[in-house]
Formats: sequence, structure tokens, C-alpha cells
Amino acid sequence: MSIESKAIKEKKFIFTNVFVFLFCIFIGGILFFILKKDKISINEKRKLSSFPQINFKNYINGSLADSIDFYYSDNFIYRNEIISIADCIKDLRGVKNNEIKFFKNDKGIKKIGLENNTKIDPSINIAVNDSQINQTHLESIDAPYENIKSVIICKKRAIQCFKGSKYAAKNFADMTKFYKKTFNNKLNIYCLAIPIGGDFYLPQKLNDKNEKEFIDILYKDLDTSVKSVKAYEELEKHTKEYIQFNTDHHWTGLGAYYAYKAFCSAAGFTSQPLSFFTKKVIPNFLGTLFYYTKSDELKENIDSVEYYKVPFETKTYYYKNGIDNGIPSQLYFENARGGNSYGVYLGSDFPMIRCITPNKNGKKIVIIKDSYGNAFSHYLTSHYEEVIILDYRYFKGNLIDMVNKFKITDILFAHNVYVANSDFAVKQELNFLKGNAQKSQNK
Amino acid sequence: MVFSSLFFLFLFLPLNLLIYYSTKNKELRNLILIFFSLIFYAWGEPIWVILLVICAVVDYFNGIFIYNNHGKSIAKLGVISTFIFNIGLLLTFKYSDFFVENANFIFGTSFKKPGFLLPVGISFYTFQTISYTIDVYRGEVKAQKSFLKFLLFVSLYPELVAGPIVRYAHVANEIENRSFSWSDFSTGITRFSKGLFKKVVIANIAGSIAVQFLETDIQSMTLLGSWYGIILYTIQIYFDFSGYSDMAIGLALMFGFHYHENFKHPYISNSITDFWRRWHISLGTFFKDYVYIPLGGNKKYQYRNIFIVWLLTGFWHGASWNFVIWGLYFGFLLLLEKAFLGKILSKSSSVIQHFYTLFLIIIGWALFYYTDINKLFDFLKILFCINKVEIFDVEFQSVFMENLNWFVLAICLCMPVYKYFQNILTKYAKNDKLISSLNISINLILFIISVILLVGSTYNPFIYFRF
Repeated sequence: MSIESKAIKEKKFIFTNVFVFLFCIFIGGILFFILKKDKISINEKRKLSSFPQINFKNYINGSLADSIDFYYSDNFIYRNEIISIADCIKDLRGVKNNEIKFFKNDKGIKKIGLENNTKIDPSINIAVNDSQINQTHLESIDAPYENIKSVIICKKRAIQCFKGSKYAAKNFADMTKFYKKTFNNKLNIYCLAIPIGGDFYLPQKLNDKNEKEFIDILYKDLDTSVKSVKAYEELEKHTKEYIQFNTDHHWTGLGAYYAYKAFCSAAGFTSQPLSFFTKKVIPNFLGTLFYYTKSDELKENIDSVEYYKVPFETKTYYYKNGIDNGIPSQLYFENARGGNSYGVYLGSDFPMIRCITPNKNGKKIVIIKDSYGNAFSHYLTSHYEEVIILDYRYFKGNLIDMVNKFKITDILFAHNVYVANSDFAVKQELNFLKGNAQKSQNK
Repeated sequence: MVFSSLFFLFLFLPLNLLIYYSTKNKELRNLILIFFSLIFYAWGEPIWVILLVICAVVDYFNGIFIYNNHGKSIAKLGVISTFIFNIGLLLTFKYSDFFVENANFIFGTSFKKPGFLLPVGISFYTFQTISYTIDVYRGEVKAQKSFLKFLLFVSLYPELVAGPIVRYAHVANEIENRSFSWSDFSTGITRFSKGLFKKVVIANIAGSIAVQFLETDIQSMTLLGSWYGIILYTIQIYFDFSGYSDMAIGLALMFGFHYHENFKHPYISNSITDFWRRWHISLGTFFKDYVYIPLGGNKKYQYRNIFIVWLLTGFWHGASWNFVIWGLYFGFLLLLEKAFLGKILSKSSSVIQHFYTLFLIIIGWALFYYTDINKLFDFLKILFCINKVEIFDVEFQSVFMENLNWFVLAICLCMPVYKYFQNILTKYAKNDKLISSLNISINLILFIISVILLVGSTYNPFIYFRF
């Protein structure tokens, strides 16, 4: 081949190489402005970021640039499709282990251990030191997986792997004691620490009763006047039943029922048999841990939301702000479907829900809960005249005022172990007594 | 802004190329590059761009002053001024917290730490301007008369935030008069795509796995998990840094600048001396030319000179004792190799040479990784089986297997496989068209895979969201 024709061929190569690259970056850039943008990502259960407001302050502190970067990548052309391809590429990285898979949240990893440094003494000051809170939880409050440090898929079931802190357990126990003291021992205070399935469904070498260890420490630290609810032991007897979702981080309606039985034992009630309730089913539920891991094998073990309705009418209200002006609502949102099926219980994590039952026994309970409490709370309507459900993340009112206004007789802390292990929950719930709980940024 | 962001790849870069090449006027092209460079820098650091410009102003005038007084002793004032200003900047912004903390510890005082945020790239651009004024003083380059051209040298965004440390002499002609070549542009694209792939596909993934093994509490570490973690960090730091250098070199080529190489497959070195000829070359030559040789090099007080150079090298990497230890560790190893180890090594088999070198490099990265000295020692005890832990656990087994293909790829890419396959292809493939198509396809695949994984990394589901 002559030198000349070789040079021509090389030129052709160079032009093509340049053209292909420029074509990609220019077309990508142009299509970004032309194509329509989604506002919500269903898979990620979040709003996609919108174009930020431009002002001098956010320009100077650098947040404008960050927001624009975020906006650009959040709304990138064919993002959902490209993410699916990225998942396929990810699968090529190695040999899949069909038995056990680890999904670690590296955003959360660095936070492990920090909790051990925090300690409060409620008798001195009911508000947890803000700087300690900042170090531990508030900085992670915006993180999407605040509570998830590690998810393991084992036998087609996704399970969070929990590790508790004895200091956090002590803080939580001290907080409940402070409640007892605040209400001059006039109220019954219950503490229900809910296991999240790791102890029951992970091999011992991965999780050696971490949840039980934490719950035992917490219950041991409780003041004798605070009654512990032995839900763990009750659930442990039924691990072969459908008590925990396979693809979601919550327990099922049946799991919550066994905890209800344990609560009745602690409170001295006779629990209703399961047959008392009307069973209903919402099929095809792929939950949060599926979207976290995006592991296809979970699709082979898809969940259904089985809920057990109380067979009587209640008057239910939700409260957006404070403890006045309830808006009519319902205990069950039976049109919940798809990834949102767990929303059948109470609809959502409203700051406050008040449920007036047909009972006339003068017993009124406040349940301070996280989302695990949603599947649980409705069972108590069989035993109380009123059940008031507060979400520790969103409630902003004053609990002392509420207790006086509604003549509350009982308070139940119903939290999964992650929340009971969290300084943020302790801070929020102590602040309920001052009426200055901050609205969580946590979604 | 970073190169490996969608915003940069699909908006900033095409816009910059479009506007830059829409004019043939050289002065205007320089202005456009300065404008985009300042935007690039100010993107996340709007305040610190002022510092960058002040730095350019000070060193521009120092350069002129030195040049105008060349040969006179007064010229030294310009060099001293440059030193005071640039080292002062570094001491203030990078090291003030470290010094206050140590003073408080030693003297029992309780001075408040200034808590400055470190302006991005300050370690690089201050070294570039220091090298410029020294070169002018030595008469190796002429001072740049145009402030804008000097500002272009200081602020040129390809190398601005993470190097390589570009010497003025290397780009002086191209600042004045650079010519466009399709061949350079094409090479730049190839280089950039490779760098992006190294950063996104190797370094980012290595980092995300490494942190699982290095950041876990000491009690739950395992022997193999710890080695795996630190090897992954070894992979991450190389591909991160060299990937960034590749992208910088590639981008610079797209605009007609030719930078020197900064990495030459450092993990195939057969001694620590060899490693430092291949790793972050621009930093090594900076310290050699501006510290080691002026101190006397190997002619006078060689051991002292080596000690000073490596103390500074370590300290340059970060304001923490572990970086100092890391620098001195390599200084010590280099001294040993100079004294006797080098001779022994040269007589050993190449397997021993490579094993020895890689082993020490990996241990070096452990020193580099842990800024908490206690955690570092705990980790080293695990690596060397002094602290008895489990050999491995299910998590290690699972993660290792799930990333096995990727791990093998990463290890292969530490070696010059690309060049090796290119040679084979050229030798055996008779069809030039095939070779060209393959090369274009490889570039495209590298780029597209990187973009796909970049988009994939934006997947950010919220568990506790309420619509």
C-alpha cells in the first residue's frame, strides 16, 4: 500500500473517531433540552429534582452549582432506560451468589460507631445536646437510606442487617422513663421494640441475634414502671408464617398481629383471635428493598399485602399540624396498589391520626410510632375508646397538652429496632414534651 | 466541576468546543479558554476563584520583575515574594488547622482552629506558579508579558484541579501559538475516553467496594477482607488519579496543548525507585528540580536531601501525620535501595522484584488511607496477623465473587495491556480498515459504558418518601 493511501485511510479514521465522539456529546446535550422531563421517579419513590432558583446566596455558597449538576443528572435523557442497562452491566462484574448477596450502603457505613459516643441524661436536660445530634443523625437525615447500612438477600428474601448500640438503648430507655416522670406516673407507659427480621431469617454467621441483644438491653434498662412488650418472643414462635415481607423493610399484617397479642399480654387484655378480623389481600407488592437492591430474584418472591380489618366502624381523622382541626380520614386505604401497597394501613405516615372507636371504656392510648406502627395500630381499636397515632418524624405538637385535652390514659412507644437505636427519635420524642419537635427532613 | 459528570460531558464540553472552534482568532480563543476555565473553577468554588486570580496577578508581576532584573541580586526578591505568597497560601488554607492542632497538643494551648475550607486545586496551581517564577529566575523561560496569557497558563481547566503539574516551559509556545490538528484532536478523544473509563468503571467501583472493607469497625474485619480492601484502594487511587490525568491530557490535546505524561503503569515497577519514576511524574520532577537538586542532589548531603524531599512529598499530599509517615516511608525505602537493597534486587528474579515492590506499595497505601493513626495501627496488625481475626467471612466471599470479573479486568488494566493488544493487532491484522474500526469502536464503547454507569450512579431511591 502506498504511503499516500495509508495517510488517507488514517485521516478517515481520525475524522470518524472525532465525528462519533462529537456526535455523542452534542446530541446528548441537545436532546436534554428537547425531550420532555418526568417529574417523579416511580422506581425511586421520589420527586426528580427541578431546576433550582438562582440567587446570589446559593451561587456564592456553591449550592447552586450542585443543584444544577443534580438537576442535570436527575433529568438526563432516557435515564430510566440507561439505569436498566447499567444494572445489566453491573451483573457482568462477577459470579452471582444465589444464596446470599450483600448490599452495603456506603453512605451509611461511616456512621457506624458514632452512636456509641452519644449519651444523654434526661434528668439534667431533656433536650439532647444538639451538637451530638448533628454528629450522629442530622447529617444523615437527608440521606435516602438513613436507616439502612446493609441489606442482605438470602434465599430470595431481602433483609436489613442491624447492629445496635447499648448507649442508644440506654438513651431510649431513659427517654421512656422521663415520660413516666413527666406525667407523674399517672399514665401507663409501654415500650414495644420491633425486630426487623434479621434475627429470624439471616444465617447465624451473619447476624447472631443482634436484634434480640439490643432489645434485651433496652428492656433491661427500662424503668420498672414502664411495661415492655415481648413481641420478639411472640414473633419468634411464628417465623415460618408470613410475618415479614420478602421485598420490603416492613413486617406484614400478621407479624403486627403477633406483636398485638404480646401487647395485650403486657396490658392485661384478652387479645382478639385472628379470625375476629376480616382478611383482605392486595397482590403483587414489590417493596422498598427491591427498589434498593434491584435484585431480580426478589421478583420471584413477590409479596402480597395481607391486612386484617377490624369488623367495626371507627371515626378516623388525620392532623397535619398540631392537635386541632382533624380532617376526616380512614383506617384502611384499600385502593393502595403496587409499590405503595403498604399504604393500605393509615394511608401514609401522617403526623397525627385520631381514631374514635365504638368502645366506651375511658381508655385512650397514644401510639408513638414509625412506619412499622402503621400495620399495628388498628388492632388496638378493639381495646380503647380512642387510639391516637403519632409519627415521631412528623408530629410537631405538644404531647402534654394532648394528654390533657384528650384525657389520655396510656402511651405506647412502638418502634422498630433501627428507630429505637436512633438518637434522632429520642430527641424528637423528648421534644414532644416541649412541643418543639422539629419536622424531619427525612423522607 | 469534575470531568466525570454528565453536566460536564454533555453541556460544558460541547459548548466550550463549539465556541472555541467558532473563531480562528488566537487571542479570542485564549480568552474563551480563560472564560470557560474560570467558570469551570468557579462552578463549585465561586469565592476561591478570586484567590486563583490573585495568585496569577502576584506571580505575573513577580515573573516580570525577575525577568527585568535578570542577573541582578534584586531578582531574588521576586522569587522570595513568590515563595512567601504561594507557600503562605498553602500554609493558611491547607495546613493552618494541622499546625494549630499540634501546637495545642504540644503546648497545652487551646487556640481555635481557623477551619478554612481547602480551595480545590490550590496544591497544584501554587506549584505551577512557583515553578514558573523559578524558571524565569534561572533564565530557562522568558517571563510572560501578557497577563491574560499568564492567567491562561494558571487557570487552564484541564489540569487546574488535579494536575498534572504543568511547567510553563512545556506550554509556553502553545499559549502563544498553537496549531489545530485533527490527529491531536482524535488522540485527545481516545485519551479522554480511556481516562473516563478508568475513573468511572474502575476507580469508582473500586472505591465503593473498598470502603466496605476499610471503613468497617476493626472487630468485624477479616484477614482476607482487609487485604482485599487495601488492594482495592490501591486500584482505586491509581485509576482515579491516572484517569484524571488521562482526561486532562486528552482535553488539553483537543485544544492543542501537549502535556507530559504523569503516570507510566506504576504497578509494574520492579523497585520503589522505579515506582517513583512512573507515579505522579510531574510532582516527582517538581521536587527533584526545585528541592532535591538545589539542596545538593546526590553530590552533597544526599541522605539529608532525600529525607527533606520525602518529608515534603508526604506533607504535600495532606495535612495529617499519616501523610508525613507515608512520605518518609518511601524516602526510607529509596535510601535502602540506594544503599544496598537495589543491588540485591537487581540480582533477584523479576517475580521477587515485582512482589517486593507491590507489597510495599500496598502497605504504603494503608499508611495513606488511614488518617487516624490508631486505626492505622489496628489495621496493620490485622494485615500482618498480629491481631487474630477470622481469615474470611461470608461477606468477603460473596463480594469477592460478585466482583471477580471486574477485579481481574482492573488488575489487567494496571499493566500495559492496551498497548500490547494494539501491537498484536498491528502485527497480525492485515486489514487497516478493521484496525481503524476496532479502535473507533473501542473508544466509543469505553465512552458509552462510562456514561451508562455515570447515569446508573444517579439512581437514588428514597425508602421513606411520601408522594
